[in-house]
Amino acid sequence: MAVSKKAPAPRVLWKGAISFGLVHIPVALYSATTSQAIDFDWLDKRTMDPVGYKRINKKTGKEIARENIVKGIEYEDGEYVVLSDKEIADAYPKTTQTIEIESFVPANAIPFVYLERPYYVAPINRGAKVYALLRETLQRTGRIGMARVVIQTKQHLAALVPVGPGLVLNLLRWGADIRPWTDLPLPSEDAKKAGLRESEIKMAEQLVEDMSAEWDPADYKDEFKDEILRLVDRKVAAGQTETVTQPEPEEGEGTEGRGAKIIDLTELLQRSLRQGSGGKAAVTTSTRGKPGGKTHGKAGAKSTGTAAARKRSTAAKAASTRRGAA
Amino acid sequence: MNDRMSTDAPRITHPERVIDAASGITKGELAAYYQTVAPLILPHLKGRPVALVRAPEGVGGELFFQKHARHSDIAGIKLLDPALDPGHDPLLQIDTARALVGAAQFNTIELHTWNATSRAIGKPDRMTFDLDPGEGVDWQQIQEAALLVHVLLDELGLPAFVKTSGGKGLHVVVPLRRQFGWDEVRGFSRAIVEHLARTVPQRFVAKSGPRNRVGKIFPDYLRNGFGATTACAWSVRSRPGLGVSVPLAWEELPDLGSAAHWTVTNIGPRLAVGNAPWDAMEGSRTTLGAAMRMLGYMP
Repeated sequence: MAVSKKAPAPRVLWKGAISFGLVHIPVALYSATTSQAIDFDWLDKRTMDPVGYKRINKKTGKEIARENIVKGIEYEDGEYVVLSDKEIADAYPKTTQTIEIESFVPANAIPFVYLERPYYVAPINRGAKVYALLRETLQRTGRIGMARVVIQTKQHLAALVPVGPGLVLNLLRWGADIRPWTDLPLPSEDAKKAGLRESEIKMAEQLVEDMSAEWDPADYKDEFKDEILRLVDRKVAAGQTETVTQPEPEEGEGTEGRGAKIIDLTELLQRSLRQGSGGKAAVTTSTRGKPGGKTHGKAGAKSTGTAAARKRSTAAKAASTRRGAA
Repeated sequence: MNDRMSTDAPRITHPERVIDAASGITKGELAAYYQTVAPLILPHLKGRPVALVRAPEGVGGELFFQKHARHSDIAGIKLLDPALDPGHDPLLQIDTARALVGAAQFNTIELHTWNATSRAIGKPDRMTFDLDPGEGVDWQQIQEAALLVHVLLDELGLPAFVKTSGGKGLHVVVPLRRQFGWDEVRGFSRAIVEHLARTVPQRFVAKSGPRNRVGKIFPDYLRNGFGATTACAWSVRSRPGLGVSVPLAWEELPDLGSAAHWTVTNIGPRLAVGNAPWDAMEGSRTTLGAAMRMLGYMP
């Protein structure tokens, strides 16, 4: 894919396995897209202070603390059911850590309107060969996998599509999320009934043929963005800039921000050992490459844990005798 | 305290002398504290070489850090075989309430212990990480740092126990089976800290020294060398307010307001909890081989 030029080092978003029948392919998901949109920040034109949002109680107009906010669902006009965070969390689908393929359908069976977010899929833990086998088979048979996957507490329908050297997992919209178009004033599907003459179709086909080309995404750019960036550069060069000082975050916000971050750091640390990193990575990888090593991240680490626990209980016996002797 | 102990206890001279202006605690009250916590602190002191931090002029005055003594007036204190620490006077060891209170009589405020016992001084039976805030580091960062250290140790399959330092930081302790010598344990503790600093460079540094760590935390692995000591659980700290180092359950940590949450003044109710948060320590003593392999450390 041509996108990888300026993208930062790929970050694993999800680890698990593609699974169907008895086949099990350990894989990681990487984001396939990056948002390049222009961000306009709001500033107070009098002071050049940043402008932000506040949550307010719509009745009193006063700001409301986060801990006083609960979540409700309006089940009929003005009538709400309140759900606790726990109740909501309990309703989340169970994470299975698998991309569970339910069927293989012809590659052109899914209309474009269903396509939502793409992820790159790459093999991990020596899954490369069976990964390649699946990719090759899909290419030859012209089929794609229809799969279910849970990513970050949400269940998705997805299509597993072979693309060049890799597999792309494209999340799909649910059927219920697609609006019917029966009420739109569409002409008849039958060309004759739509009033088209054979000569007209011929002419139109000729025109299309003349304009036919290979598609290269590099040929197309967001011109608005380029225009804005040129304008910004000109203004910077002309010294037309403003300094904006970000205020210190409020107590509550700051703590929460850091709270969220520590969860990220926790995951980072947990992952750090499974991936191996830095100077000593070579040693780590070589010990891990041993047969009977970890097949897929989580399960592997768990089993080490229990082995350690088992050892601990023997250690306990040893320790108690030692204590007796001391 | 039973009668025998209290009659046996050394006499405290000048018990009325205030040793900490901040709390108004007197020498007599400090000795009484050690007498009271003896059943809790002795399991941490017994069998280990100890270093005494003595403050003859009280908190704020000059401190003396004493690891060795040719002769000691402290009643009941044990002078160990000089061969344990060649080239020095004998190391000290406190095994009894009498020696503990005796140390208080000689103006001891803090007790620091080795990571090994005197019977097997060549093989440490624990690994300690001292999380002490440098400049620009607040308590919440220390709490989070300890939790992150715990995450990594857990991931390595290593048991970890935490206590307040009684000062500004936290101590994380990994109980070991006596398998490796000092060099290996210290080397591995260093590898752990380096991994932390490499993985979470925004929070940790692997180098000591204030210049290296403004706003960041250096989990001090240097406590794991031969002869290095760390303040013992239930030791009082010679700082204004006289904080006490207290064993914690990990679940308690997020709710704790500071590393000096407990002091000689307010320790009372906590004594009932005692060493319970560390009950699993003896039973969880671990070997290091698997963790060393995971981290790619060759002893």
